[in-house]
Amino acid sequence: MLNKKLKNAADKITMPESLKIRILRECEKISAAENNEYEDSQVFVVEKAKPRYIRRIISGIAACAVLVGGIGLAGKSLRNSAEQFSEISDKEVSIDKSADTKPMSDAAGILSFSGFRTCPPYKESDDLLDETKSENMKKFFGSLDWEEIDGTEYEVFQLPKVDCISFSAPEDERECSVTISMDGSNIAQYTEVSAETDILSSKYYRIDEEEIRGGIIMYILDYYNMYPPFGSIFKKTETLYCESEMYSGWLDFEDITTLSKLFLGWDWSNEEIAEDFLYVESGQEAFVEFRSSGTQAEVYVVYPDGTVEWQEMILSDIGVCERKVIHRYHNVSREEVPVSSLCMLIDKLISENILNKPTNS
Amino acid sequence: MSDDERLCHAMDKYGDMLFRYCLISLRSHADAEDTVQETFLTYYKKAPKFSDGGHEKAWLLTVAANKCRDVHRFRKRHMTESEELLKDYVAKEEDKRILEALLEVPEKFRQPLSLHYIEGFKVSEISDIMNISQSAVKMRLSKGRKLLEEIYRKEFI
Repeated sequence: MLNKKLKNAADKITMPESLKIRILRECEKISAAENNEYEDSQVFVVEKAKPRYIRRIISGIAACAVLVGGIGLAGKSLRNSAEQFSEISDKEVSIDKSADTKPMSDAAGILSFSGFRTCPPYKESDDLLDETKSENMKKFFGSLDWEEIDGTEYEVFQLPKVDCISFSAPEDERECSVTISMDGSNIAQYTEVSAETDILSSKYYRIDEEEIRGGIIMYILDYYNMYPPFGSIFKKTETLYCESEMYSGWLDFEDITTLSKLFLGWDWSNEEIAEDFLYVESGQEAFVEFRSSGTQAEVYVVYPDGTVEWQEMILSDIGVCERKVIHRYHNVSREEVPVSSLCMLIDKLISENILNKPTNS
Repeated sequence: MSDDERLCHAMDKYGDMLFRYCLISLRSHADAEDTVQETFLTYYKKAPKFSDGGHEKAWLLTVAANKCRDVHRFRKRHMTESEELLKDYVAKEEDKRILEALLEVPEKFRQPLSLHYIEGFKVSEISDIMNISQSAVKMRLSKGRKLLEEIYRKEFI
């Protein structure tokens, strides 16, 4: 009902005729400029109209210091990142020494990595990096192979689908940014911008998008900064039901990582979403249930046949579930239901007393 | 068909949709007009080939969505003033209320709501346009609906 009302109202918004005329006029100017048929006065008009928007886009992009992105988070890239992390840890000193010889040493050195902003597909946030994460990021960038290329064909404002994370150097009047492509073109652009948003320098590099995404996730975002499913829920696992027994506890980052990897390794291609206001329960008894706390509770329920439900429960002020949105995933592509892996993890958590039975049960 | 004719045809067919989308996304007449203009200029300059109308529509919206995102990035650093957006378009008070409620929904939920419920795009198409997963689109639609309903009922009923 509300949807129809919305559409009916929005359909009344139409493009102004004056805008159409303006666009046609701009196109005529472009066409004339291409054919060298314009006069000096026309050049003035073109130059007056175009840079205004370009400047805004450039300065908009400049507002974000390192920009990185990626939706396709596969288990493989995560594993690669994990391996890379241990390699970096082993050769921390050598990375610092060799950084000066790398093309991106300027970026790695200048960027303090003290602040960062994440945008979709990651959970949006605007936060500061702690010292450890800041150092890890600097070392990670320093360890990459940055092959400088001629980037004249890549205009700043045309780099597609960027801006998932930005870094800033607040103590420096300059802002340095690294913009990473997200469309498979494997291009990075390093820009140094003054406080007045003038671009001081700009370089282009050939990079490995997957490698950088993996590093970003490993060093900064952590798994719980990703959009659910398979991310945010695990940050605050408060209670857990396993084969009708109830346990509770808070998982640390390592366990959250293991759990996330486990879920990410499955095939989630078949998804259903239950309509709002409907209570659609599976007929089976849940094998394990991970529950988070908060006013908008999110729950993962794993069934013995491998079906997983990600449930969002909208709670009222007094904690009563007003409605529930259920996303159901069928893990049909695997012959073996990966419940055994979950069993092992849960057994480990119980044996280490991370998960405990509540005293009153 | 010449380039000019092609542009006119595209503006007639998709102009309203793009302007609506940009206005709802950016909440500013000037920015929406600039963004639509830039989108059509890109279309004119690149003259891309499309397999069908659906492809052309999705291409234009993707370009517009990217440009809207650039404007939002710019705004994160520069404060902008709000304006009374709808006075020139919507005369009926009831239409105005629902649109004003939509404009109060946060940007990340407003965009998919606009694409799905106003422009009729499927979840998979929105996923491509916004470059986010289908799960994320569904999540945003679900939360967006809830927010829209809450705002509408709280402030306008």
